[in-house]
Amino acid sequence: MISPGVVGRALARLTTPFDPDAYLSFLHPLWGTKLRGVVEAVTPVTAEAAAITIRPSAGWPGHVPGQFTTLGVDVRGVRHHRCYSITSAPGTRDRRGPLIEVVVQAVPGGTVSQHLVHDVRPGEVVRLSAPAGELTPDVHAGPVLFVTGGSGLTPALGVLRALDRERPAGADVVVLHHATDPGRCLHLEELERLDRTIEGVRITTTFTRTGPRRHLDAERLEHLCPDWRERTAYVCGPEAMVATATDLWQREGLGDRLLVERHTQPRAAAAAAPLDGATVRFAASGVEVLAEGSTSLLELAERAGLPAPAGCRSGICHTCSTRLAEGCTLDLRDGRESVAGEHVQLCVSAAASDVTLDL
Amino acid sequence: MTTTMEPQGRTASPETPQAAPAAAQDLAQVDLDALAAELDAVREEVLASLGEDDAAYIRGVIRLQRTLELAGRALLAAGVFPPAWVAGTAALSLSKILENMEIGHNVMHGQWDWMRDEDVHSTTWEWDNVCPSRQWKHTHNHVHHQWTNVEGRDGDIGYGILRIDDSQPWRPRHLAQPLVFVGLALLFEYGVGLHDVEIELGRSGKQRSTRDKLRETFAKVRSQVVKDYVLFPALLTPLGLPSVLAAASGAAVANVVRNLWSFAVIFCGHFPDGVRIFTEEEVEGESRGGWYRRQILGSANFDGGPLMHLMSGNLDHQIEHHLFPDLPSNRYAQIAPKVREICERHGLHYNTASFPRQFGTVVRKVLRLSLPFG
Repeated sequence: MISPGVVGRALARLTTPFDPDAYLSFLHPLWGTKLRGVVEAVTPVTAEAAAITIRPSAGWPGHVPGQFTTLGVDVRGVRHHRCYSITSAPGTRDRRGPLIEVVVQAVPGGTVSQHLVHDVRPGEVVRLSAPAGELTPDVHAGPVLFVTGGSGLTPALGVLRALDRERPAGADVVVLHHATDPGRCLHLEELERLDRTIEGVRITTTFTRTGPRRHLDAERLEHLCPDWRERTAYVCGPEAMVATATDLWQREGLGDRLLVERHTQPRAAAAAAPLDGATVRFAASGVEVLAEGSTSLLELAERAGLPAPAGCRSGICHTCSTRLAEGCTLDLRDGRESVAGEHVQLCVSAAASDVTLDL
Repeated sequence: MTTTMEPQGRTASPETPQAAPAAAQDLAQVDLDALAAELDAVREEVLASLGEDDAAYIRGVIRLQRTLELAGRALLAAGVFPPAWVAGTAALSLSKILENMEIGHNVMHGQWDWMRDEDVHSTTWEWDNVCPSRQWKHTHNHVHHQWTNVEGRDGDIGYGILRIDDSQPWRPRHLAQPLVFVGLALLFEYGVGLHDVEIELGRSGKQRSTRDKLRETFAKVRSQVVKDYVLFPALLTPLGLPSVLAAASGAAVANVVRNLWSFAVIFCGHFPDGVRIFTEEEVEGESRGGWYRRQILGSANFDGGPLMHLMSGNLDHQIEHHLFPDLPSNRYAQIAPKVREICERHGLHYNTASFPRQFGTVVRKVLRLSLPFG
């Protein structure tokens, strides 16, 4: 038997100087060796959100509920990368093969989300990354709590749908979801159905701008989930919710039982100011640009036309992690400094001195 | 004005009437700051309007090239039948021309980097040519485009082996340059492949760096040769020796056709009559406007329609390419009338003529300059 590696190398001798992927993906977008997906269906979820069903290429490794994939999408000719939680259960497929789904909430002015919710059509080819992410609760290992807000529901939805499919005995999952109002709540009816039908799953949805107008706080958490301290907790949502939750868990000394995913772009919060006008040198590309205040290094790289790897753009996925060869950077989220030799996340970092990056 | 140039213009062929406007050029009389501002505005306008249609253009050309390449290889598999051999060789020739000229050369210039597609990017593209992309980007993007037509700095003036300007001193070896000219045309990719090695040798004379570059070139030559002349023909061994030879000969002819065409297009870019050569003193302290002016006076266009644009990699708009080497090539034809109008208003000779005329003056010059006092 000839191993795929040998076949690949032999093929590469024939396709040189190009990667075999160049020809395979030309014959069919899903035959290439790089991960791609073809949009199969776009289903509106709310007026400003859509579920997008994607057929991944043969090399798709499968995902664990709660993980995300990075979509590479061309908008007005320019490639953009964004992370989206996979909301379909593992094993979802039709007769032609596996399918995955992501749910996208259109952000006002958002280049990629607006395109995906309003403009994308079946047949469009997107790039995919291998699934990643740590919001992957093991429901067999103990009770679980999800605190979610807005599009932060999506990793929990992936987990709930997997539970719906597998119905494992002894699952104990509480989901405290927050949406502004019923019209903007993703999959409200499905959440109600899942709450009713899966044993061991309890889903509470709170509307923050209608009814009692309640955001997450200690009292409300105590009321909705009295045993929250015993649960492995996952918080997923806007910055304010993540900050509140982090504070609550840390006050109880339970910071290590909480995993966090921010579903908003980071804002500059650095105590030490980024150095405006610092020289940012991208060593591998031989490009030099000037730093602009709290503009992220990723944005500077992209503006210079470098193919900077990028994913979530909010410090989650580490796709953009790049070695800092010289100088010092600041994390825009918390002002933490990184020094030469460390890997920094370009999307949430700014230059604090002249810097050189291995990009 | 920030330039200190003296009006000591020397044109390639002062006796040719067509060269008169450039010969009469008083370099100091051009308002370089205004020229720079107007050309910068042309550039900004294109950059601001780049979008989906441009991306679709380059991806369409890449699809066309891959279609031609696969069709060419498939037809050459049946190459024992003469019509299939001719069609296959033609398709493979077109594929290699498109890949080298409209795709590879322009992608490596960074014309498509704005798409941020790692598969169509100047940092990742390796072209179907024996010259390693990394070396090409050095000799071409850096040395040639920065120092266009500056004697002693631009390695592309006669490629170090041809006497292409009166200012270059005659040597007895130039008697053979008509033959060298034909030889270089036939084996152009190998000339290009050794160009950076030659520049490295001339510049630093360092044995180590030269050897490293030579090794890199040999590795690229080997993978190209093995693909075209060993592996693809070898796939046809079950069909017998004639099929094997047909595939190899088709690839060889395709490589030569690509060499001849790219050689002709490139020689029409900087060597026709009326193109100006500069001295290092002339470009000392050169402003952006001065650089723009040198690109205009140091380049030549030739006429053609959309098919010529495509097959020449849009180098029929060599002037526009040299002014804006990183603007997507599909936009050169669009901005050409505006560029020409700006040139003419500033009294700068916009050198354009038919392809046969431009190439004819190159051939005549190569012949004339092969002789002492020619």
